[in-house]
Amino acid sequence: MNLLLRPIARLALTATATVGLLVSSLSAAPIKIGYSDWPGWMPWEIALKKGWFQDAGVEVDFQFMDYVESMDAYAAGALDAVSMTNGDALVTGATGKPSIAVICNDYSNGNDMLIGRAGLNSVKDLKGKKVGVEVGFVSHLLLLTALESVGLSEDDVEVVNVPNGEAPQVLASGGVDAVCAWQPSSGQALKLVDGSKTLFTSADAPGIIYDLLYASPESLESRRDDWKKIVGVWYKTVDFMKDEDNLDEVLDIMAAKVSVSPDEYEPFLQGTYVLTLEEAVKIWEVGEGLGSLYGSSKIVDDFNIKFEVYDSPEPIEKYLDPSLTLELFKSSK
Amino acid sequence: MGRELTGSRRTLLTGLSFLLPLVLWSIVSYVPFIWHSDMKLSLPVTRADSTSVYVPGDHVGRDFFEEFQEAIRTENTAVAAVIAGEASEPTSSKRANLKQLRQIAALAVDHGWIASDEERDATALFAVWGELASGRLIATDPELSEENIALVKKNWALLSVGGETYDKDTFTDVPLYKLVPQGRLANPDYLPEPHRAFLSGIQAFTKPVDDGQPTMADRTAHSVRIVFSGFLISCVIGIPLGVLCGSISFFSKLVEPFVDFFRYMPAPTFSTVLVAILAVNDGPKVAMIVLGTVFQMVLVLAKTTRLLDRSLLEAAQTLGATQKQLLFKVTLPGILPNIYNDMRILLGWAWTWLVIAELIGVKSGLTEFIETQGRWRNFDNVYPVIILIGLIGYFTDQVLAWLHRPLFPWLGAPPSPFTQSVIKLVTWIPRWFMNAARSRVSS
Amino acid sequence: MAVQITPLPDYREQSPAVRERFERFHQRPVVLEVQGLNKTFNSSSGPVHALSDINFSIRRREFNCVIGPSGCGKSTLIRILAGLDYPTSGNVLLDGQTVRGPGADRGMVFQGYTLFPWLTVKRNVMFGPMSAGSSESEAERDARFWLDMVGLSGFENAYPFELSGGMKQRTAIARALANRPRILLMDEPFGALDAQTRFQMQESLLEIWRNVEVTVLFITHDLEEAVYLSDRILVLDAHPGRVNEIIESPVPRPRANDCIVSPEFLATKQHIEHLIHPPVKEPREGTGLGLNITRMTSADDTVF
Repeated sequence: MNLLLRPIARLALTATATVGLLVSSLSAAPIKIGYSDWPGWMPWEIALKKGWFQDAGVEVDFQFMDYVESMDAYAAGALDAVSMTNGDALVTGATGKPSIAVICNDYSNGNDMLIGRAGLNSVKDLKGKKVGVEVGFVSHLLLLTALESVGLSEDDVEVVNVPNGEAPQVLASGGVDAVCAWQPSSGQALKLVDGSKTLFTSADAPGIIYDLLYASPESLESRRDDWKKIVGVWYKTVDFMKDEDNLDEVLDIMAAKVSVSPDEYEPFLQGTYVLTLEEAVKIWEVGEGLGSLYGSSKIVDDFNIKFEVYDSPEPIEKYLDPSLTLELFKSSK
Repeated sequence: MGRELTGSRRTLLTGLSFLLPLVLWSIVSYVPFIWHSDMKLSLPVTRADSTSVYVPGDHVGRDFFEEFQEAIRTENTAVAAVIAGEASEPTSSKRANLKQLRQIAALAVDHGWIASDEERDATALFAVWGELASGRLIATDPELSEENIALVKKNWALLSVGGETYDKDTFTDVPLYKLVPQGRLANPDYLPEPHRAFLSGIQAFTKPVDDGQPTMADRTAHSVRIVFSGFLISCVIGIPLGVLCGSISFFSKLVEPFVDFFRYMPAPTFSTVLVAILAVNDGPKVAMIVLGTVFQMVLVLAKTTRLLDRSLLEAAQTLGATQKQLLFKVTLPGILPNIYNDMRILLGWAWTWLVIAELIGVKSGLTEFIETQGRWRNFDNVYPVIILIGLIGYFTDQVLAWLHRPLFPWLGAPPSPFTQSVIKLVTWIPRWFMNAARSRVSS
Repeated sequence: MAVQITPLPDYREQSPAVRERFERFHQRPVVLEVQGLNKTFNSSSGPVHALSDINFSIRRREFNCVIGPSGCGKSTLIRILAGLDYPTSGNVLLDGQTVRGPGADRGMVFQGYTLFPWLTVKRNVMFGPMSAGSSESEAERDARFWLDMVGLSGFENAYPFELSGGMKQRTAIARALANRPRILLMDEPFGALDAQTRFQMQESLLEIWRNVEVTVLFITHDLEEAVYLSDRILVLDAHPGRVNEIIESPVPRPRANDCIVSPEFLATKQHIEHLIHPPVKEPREGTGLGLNITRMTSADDTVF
C-alpha cells in the first residue's frame, strides 16, 4: 500500500507545486496600464524614465495607445488599468467593464477645446454646422456643455464622429466646420488651419473633466500593495514636476513621447492642471458641485442620462476609491 | 506593339520610369512660381491670443502670415507702452523672458554660433543676443529683417541692464519685444522638396533617439518581423489546406465555400476582437496579417494545385504510387514553382496589411512613426519611410524572383553564370557538410 | 517495283512459318482478358455508348495493336485497362485477377510523355521502383540498366525539358519497364513524333520487346504502324465502339524495313483500311467529299 501510494503522493506534490508556481508567477506579472497622449498622463514617462517604479518595487507595463482604443482594450480585459476621464469611466462602466479610480491625475484647464474654422467666432455660430467629435466620450461631453451654455442643443448641430487624433486633419480637410479635441491634437488643429480659433475650452467649465487612473476591481482587490506603490510613484513624480528648476527636463520627456518640441509643449502644462497630493485630497472629498470628484461625476452622470449616452444612473461611489491617496497623505504628514 | 526591346533600351526605360516622377516632383518643388502657397517660418512665434507655439519649419498660409506679422507688431506696440511707463499690461516673468531668448536659438544653431545642445542654454543665447545687437554677428541664411534687427537692439537694451552676461538673479522680467515672423515661400507641408525628404530620411535613421524609444532600425526590424511572422503563420495554415483542397474534392467542398465567404469580411473589422483575444502588443498585429492573407492563400493554392497536369498524377498511378506518394512525390513538387510565385504575390498582400495591423493596440514599428509624424505634419519624415516600405517589399520580391531560376532548374530557364556562382558561394558551407556526411555514411 | 501489277493476296493467307508461329502462340497463357466490357458516358445530349460489349484476350508476349476510326473509344478502352477509368459493366482480368484501379503490374506510356519535369531522366525511371520500396541504390542500378536499353546512357542527369520528343518517349518507356509490368499499355505513344523519329522508335520498340519479357497493347490510328508492329490487330468500330475484327498479321518476323511493301503487308493494310473507312456508297455531287466548296479562283487558273 505504502509502495503504491508514495509515487502518487509525490506526483500530487509536484503537481501542486507546479500549479502554485504558475499562480504565483501570474500574480507577479507586471500590472498592465493603458494610457494615451493626454498631457495629464505624460508625467508617467518621467517616472518610467527615472526608474521610480523599480525603486518602489512594483512591476508595471505601460501601454501607450489611442484613447478610445485603450478603453476598448481595458473593456476587453487586455489591461489591468486604464487612464480615463471621470465621465468616460461611467460610459465604459455602463457599456463595458466597471473600474475603480485610484489616482486623480489632473483636471482639464483649457486643453480640451472646441475649435471653429475661420469665420466662426462663438459657440452660437455653430448652429447648423458640422462638428467633429469622438461620439459618446469626453469631447462630446464638452461640446454638449458648450452648446448648452449658449442655449443650443445637439439637434442644432450636425455631429460627425471623428477620432481625437484625426481631428486636425479632418478640420483642415474642410469636412467639418469645427472639432472638439484635446491637446496635443487641439493645438495641432489650431496651427494647421489658418484663422481657426477656440470657441470654448474646458477652462470655461473647470471641473467637468477630471482625468484619472482607473484599475479593474480584480487587480485592485488582489494587488492592493502594488497599487499603493504606484500611487506613491505618481505623487513623487508630481513633486518633481512642480519644481520649476526641473521644468525643461520635464518638458523634454513629456514632449518627446508625443513627438512635439518642448517649446510647443509648454502651453499644454497650463491647460492641464496636474494636482498635488494636497489638492487631490480635497478633490476626493465627497461633495456637491464640480470641485469634488463625486459632485463632478454626478453632474456628468446626469448629463449622460439626459443625452441618452446610457439609460440609468451609475453608482458613482463604486467608481471612486480615495483610500490609497488618503493613506499616502496621512503617512506623508 | 509586340516588339521586343533590346537590353540597353529596357534598362534605360526602367531608369526613366523612376526618374520621371522624381523630375516632376523637383520641378514643382524648386520652380518658385508654380505653386508655393505657404510661408515656411524661419523664426519661432507665439501669439498672446493663442496657446499655439509656432516653431521654425512650420507652415502658414501666405495671407495668414501677414495677419500674423501685424498681430505681433500690435503686441510690440503694447510692450513699448509698458516700457515707456504708459501702461501696466502686458506683464512678463523671468521664465517668459527666458523663452523669448530662445527665439533666435534655431538661427544661432544654423549659423554655428552655438552648439545644438545649447538651444536652451540661457548664457549662450544671451551672448548671441549681445553679439547680434552690436552687429558683430550677422545672420545670413535666413537674414534677419531690418525690423527684427531693430527689435534685437531694443531687447538688448532691456536685457543688458543687469550686465553684459547672463545672470539668473539680475535677469530682467520686464516684457521683451517679440521678433516679427519671418519665412520663405514654400509648397504645402505635404509636398516637401526632394532634398528635404532625403535629408530627413537620413536623419531619421542616424539621429540618436531618446532612451526607451525604438531606433529607425528597430522599427524597421519590428515591421519586417510582423509581416513575416504573420505570413509564416499564414503559410503554415494556408499551404497544407490549400493543397488539400486542390487535390481532394472532399476538402475543397468542405472548406472553400466558407473561406470564400470569410474573405469578404474586411479583416480590419476584427481588430477589436483580436485585441480582446490577444491583448495589445504584437499578437493582434500578426493575427491581422494572418487574417488578411490566409483566406486568399487557401483559395489561390487550391486553384494552383488544380492546375497541375492531371496526366502526371495518372502516370504516377500507373507506376504504382500510393495516395500519399501522389501528394508528396507528384502534386507538391509539381506545383512548387507556382506555389513559389503565388507566395511572392501573397507576400505583397501581407505588406499591404502591415500599416493597418500596426495601428492596432499599441502602435508600433514604421507605421507608428508615419502616424505620429503625419499627425504633426512632418511629411518630410513620412515620405522616406513610405518609400522605405516600398523598397523593402520591392527588393524582397526582386530577390525571390531572381532565385526562381536556380531553385527550379528543371523549368528550362537556367540561371545566368553570375547567379550560379553566387549560389555556389552561398551554399558552399552547407554543401560541404552534406558531402562530408554522405562520405561518412558510405564509408 | 512491280507491286501494283501482282494482285494482292488474301490477308488471311499465312505462310507456313507464320502459321506455325501463331500455333505456338495459341499455346501461351492469357495475360489480359477483357470480358463483356461496356462504357456509357452521360453527356448533355443523353447517354453516349462509348464501348459496347468488348471481348478479347491477349496472350503472354503478344504484341497487340488496337486501331479504329476516331471516336471508337480506343483511348477509353486503354484507360479502363490501366485502371484510370471504370467500365459501366464487364471485367478486365490480369492473370485471372480482376483489375480494380491502377497498378504497377500494368505499365503505361502516354502520347503526351507525362515525364515528371522536376526529376532528371534517371529519377523519372527510378520513380516506380522507389514507390514500390526499392532502395535508392537498387533503383538507381535498375534505372541505368533500362536507360541503357532504350539508348539513353549519358542522359541520366538531364531534365525532361532538355530532351527531344523521341528521347522523352524512350525515357517514358524505360520508366514503365523499370516496374517489370506484366503488360505494357501504350496510348498512341509515337503520335506526336515526326516520321523519321517515329520509324526509329518503332524499330527500337520491337527490339526491346524481342529481348524483354513483356506483353504489349499498343493503340494507334496509323495503319502502317499497326501492321508493322503487331502480331494481332484489334479493329474497333465507332459509335458505339465495338470489336469489328481481330486480325492475325500475315507479315513474317523478323520484319525488315522493306516488309512494308510486301504483298502480305499491303493486303492486311488494305483490308483494315476498308474496315475503318468503308467505301462511300453514294458520293455526293461536286467534290465527292461531301464538302460544299465555292470556287474562288479565276476561271483560267485551274491547277487540275
